[in-house]
Amino acid sequence: MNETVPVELITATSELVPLPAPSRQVLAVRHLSRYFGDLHAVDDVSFDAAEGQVVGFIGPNGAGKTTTMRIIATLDVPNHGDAIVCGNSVIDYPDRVRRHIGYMPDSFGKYSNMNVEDYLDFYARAYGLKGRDRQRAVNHVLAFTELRKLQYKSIKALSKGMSQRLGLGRTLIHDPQLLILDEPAAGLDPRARVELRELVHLLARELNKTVLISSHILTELGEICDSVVIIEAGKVLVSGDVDEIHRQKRASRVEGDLHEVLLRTVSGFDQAQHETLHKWLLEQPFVTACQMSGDCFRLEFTGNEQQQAELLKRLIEHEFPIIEFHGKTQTLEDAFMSITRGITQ
Amino acid sequence: MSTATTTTSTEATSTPDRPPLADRFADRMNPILVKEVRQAMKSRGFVGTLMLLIGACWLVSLVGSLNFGSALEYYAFGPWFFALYFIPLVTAIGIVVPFLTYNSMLNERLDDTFEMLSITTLNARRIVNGKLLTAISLIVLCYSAITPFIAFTSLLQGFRWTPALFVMVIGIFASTGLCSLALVVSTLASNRLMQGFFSLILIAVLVYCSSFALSLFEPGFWTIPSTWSTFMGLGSICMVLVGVVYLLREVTVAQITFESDNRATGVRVVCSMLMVAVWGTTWWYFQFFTLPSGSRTTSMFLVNGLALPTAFLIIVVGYFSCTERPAMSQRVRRRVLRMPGGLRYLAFPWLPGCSRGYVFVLMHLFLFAAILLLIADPFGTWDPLVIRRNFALAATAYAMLYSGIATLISRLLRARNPDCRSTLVRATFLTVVSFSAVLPHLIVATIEQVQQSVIGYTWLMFSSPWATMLEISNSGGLSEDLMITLQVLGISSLVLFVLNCRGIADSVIEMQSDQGPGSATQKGAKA
Ligand SMILES: Nc1ncnc2c1ncn2[C@@H]1O[C@H](COP(=O)(O)OP(=O)(O)OP(=O)(O)O)[C@@H](O)[C@H]1O
Ligand SMILES: [Mg+2]
Repeated sequence: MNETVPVELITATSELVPLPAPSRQVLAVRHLSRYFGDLHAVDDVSFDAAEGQVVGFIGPNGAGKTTTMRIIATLDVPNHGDAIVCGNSVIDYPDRVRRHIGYMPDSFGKYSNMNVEDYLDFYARAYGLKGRDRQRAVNHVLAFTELRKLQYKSIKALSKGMSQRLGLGRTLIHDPQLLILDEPAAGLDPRARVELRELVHLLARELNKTVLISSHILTELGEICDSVVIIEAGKVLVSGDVDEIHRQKRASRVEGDLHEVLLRTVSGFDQAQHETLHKWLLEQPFVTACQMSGDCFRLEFTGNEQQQAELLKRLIEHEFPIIEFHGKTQTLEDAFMSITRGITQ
Repeated sequence: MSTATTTTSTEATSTPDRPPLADRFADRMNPILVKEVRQAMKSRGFVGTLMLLIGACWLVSLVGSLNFGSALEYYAFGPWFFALYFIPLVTAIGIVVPFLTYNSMLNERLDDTFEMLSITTLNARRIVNGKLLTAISLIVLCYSAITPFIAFTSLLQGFRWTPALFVMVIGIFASTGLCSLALVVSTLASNRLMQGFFSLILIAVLVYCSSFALSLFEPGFWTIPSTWSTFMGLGSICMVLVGVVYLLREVTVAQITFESDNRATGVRVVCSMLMVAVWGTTWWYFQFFTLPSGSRTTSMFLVNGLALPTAFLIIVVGYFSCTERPAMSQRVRRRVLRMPGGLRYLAFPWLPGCSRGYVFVLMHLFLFAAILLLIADPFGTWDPLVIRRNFALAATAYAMLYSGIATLISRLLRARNPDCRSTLVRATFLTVVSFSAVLPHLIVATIEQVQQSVIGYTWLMFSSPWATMLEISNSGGLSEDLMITLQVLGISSLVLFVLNCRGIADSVIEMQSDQGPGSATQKGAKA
């Protein structure tokens, strides 16, 4: 359909669906807040997502992920702020927004006496697809989620992994631009997780969908996300590019922050020499502890990057046979742990 | 639709150019209907019922023909066979189908599948329509299962088409009514525990209503004359039932609509339409059938045809409307602000919010009074006993009072906690009303115990509508105490109106800009 839309002038109203442009913005969350009584479940949350982007939405339990996603999915209304999906405000034009979104909640009920194909067919009808369009959409989803073999299986009898696939399939049935997946990987075995990740990757890269995905499986999100939003107690702590967050995290390290440095000497360095090095290391500034195991040393280092470089320089100057020297690389998990403070509300 | 369709164009070639007729037909139908009928055909509950129904009818025919043999031709067995066929049918359409409808809606809500549906292009109304249409299809299926048996009965002696048609047509409408009632009940249960409780109540109601079918065995039933007035009567009953279905459907839609959306307007508009229909029909009736002025029939007619339906509508809709949240949600307010200037003020009483609901109730009460004056002068000719006039006066006063109290409670509770749930407001209102109604009786009973004497009605019992209404129908005229009661009721309604003026003013201001009192409450929530 997109191909046949004639180029028309965009007037400056929020009602018009903007024309597809390279990597146009699909989702804009602006100062979103949602209160339940005194509880600020979501508090001034803002972030964006463009076409073809996978945005990870990370936060501990009760951070407000589901609440935010429900607002974007037009199931709830914010107390303040707004979310714009493909140019439409979720408050003003929920009907238009609904055409552009596919929402997969963390758990969803299943009908009895219904098989996989009937289920997809029903949702296709519910989205107003008719005749051949509907058949095509159902076939496409069956193929994409590889549920073809289970087409006639009762949906109540599906395994967790398969029903998550079906849930994803359902969100895709009307070909929405924005997919909102709330903890899709929860309860899946490692293989199913990898498969799910591949599906999400495929959706973003090949079909140019925007995916907003929340999860507790942080390391996994790191690989597929273009950007992440880390949220805690309703507030956004960090958002942006995954690499950017790592870089910021390293650069923002100040004196006094504790982190680990790993160090390895050539093998065959004898015990006495090891002892000497161990002693020498403990005398160095910013080194608070040093563990030795074989030819590996694990330092607890409180200096910043500059001071770490100076330590290396001194090691070389003292002609210690070092073959490895690195700060332990931070995973998304570490970043997450150091950014969030474990606030629960 | 672009990618999903284009990437699979190869698959499309395998499907025929034009889908089969049945599919094209199903395309036009409500998706819920298609889904539910498919599910019902696979469910043991419904298929089993259908089989039992047909089995029971076969059994009746078999046992009947074996027992009576050729006597069937000479004696009036028609009514008996009809009743024996009809009772299994009533069990199916009066109990099983409404209960299945209840269950399907309930599961949709409790399993959260409803939320997933409501963000498709189906809205709450289409979902409820789908459920109702499914129920009607199942009813029709049950009817078609017994059609051959009815045809057989029509050949027997003593069978007459008028009564048979009468009861069969009413059966369809009444069963649809019960299904819509079941839908409303299904929206009340918020958890599995409540569900058990409501299921029991619903079953009791269904069994009770279905037991009316036993009147088929009454001898008078088969002598219903085939006259114009019989069909008029049938028509009116069906119209009333259609009205009830309409209202209940709207209540269900309102119940399942998100709180952030407009729950009120649908119910209120249907309520107004029904009232106008009732008033119009009565007026029309008065034009064409000159009823003797001041006779008992006329006043009964007015009470049954005009006052009772109006009172029912006002009580049901008023109760829900006046206990709503005072302010419109941001979504509704912005939608209202997009309405052209004057229109939004015209729509004022139909827009959500308890103060607007209060105005809605008052407006309809006054309109009703005006209609009464127009149709028949309530202070003179239409009731020689004057009872009805006083009844109407007291009832109106109570309606004003209670709607005022409900609105005030709703506003006060919400001023303290903007997120206060409607259930709490309604519970508070009901507690206040029932406590105030019971209190005078308790006091009087205690005094009577102590003094060992009987105290009659005093105006101090004004807070008990029960006592007042009883006194009116007993005394006939207006005793001194009743006069005082009416005055007290009138004055307190006025006081409540004045107290609620602030809320009404707020509701008007709210409709003028995005920064109305509604957004103020939301800011208040932050503090
Ligand atoms: N309907 C509601 N009424 C009251 N409080 C609510 C409601 N929904 C959510 N909350 C509260 O809002 C906060 C945020 O909840 P939310 O479900 O958005 O967290 P989450 O990030 O999705 O957590 P999880 O990882 O456990 O799914 C929680 O403290 C929760 O108790
Ligand atoms: Mg959650």
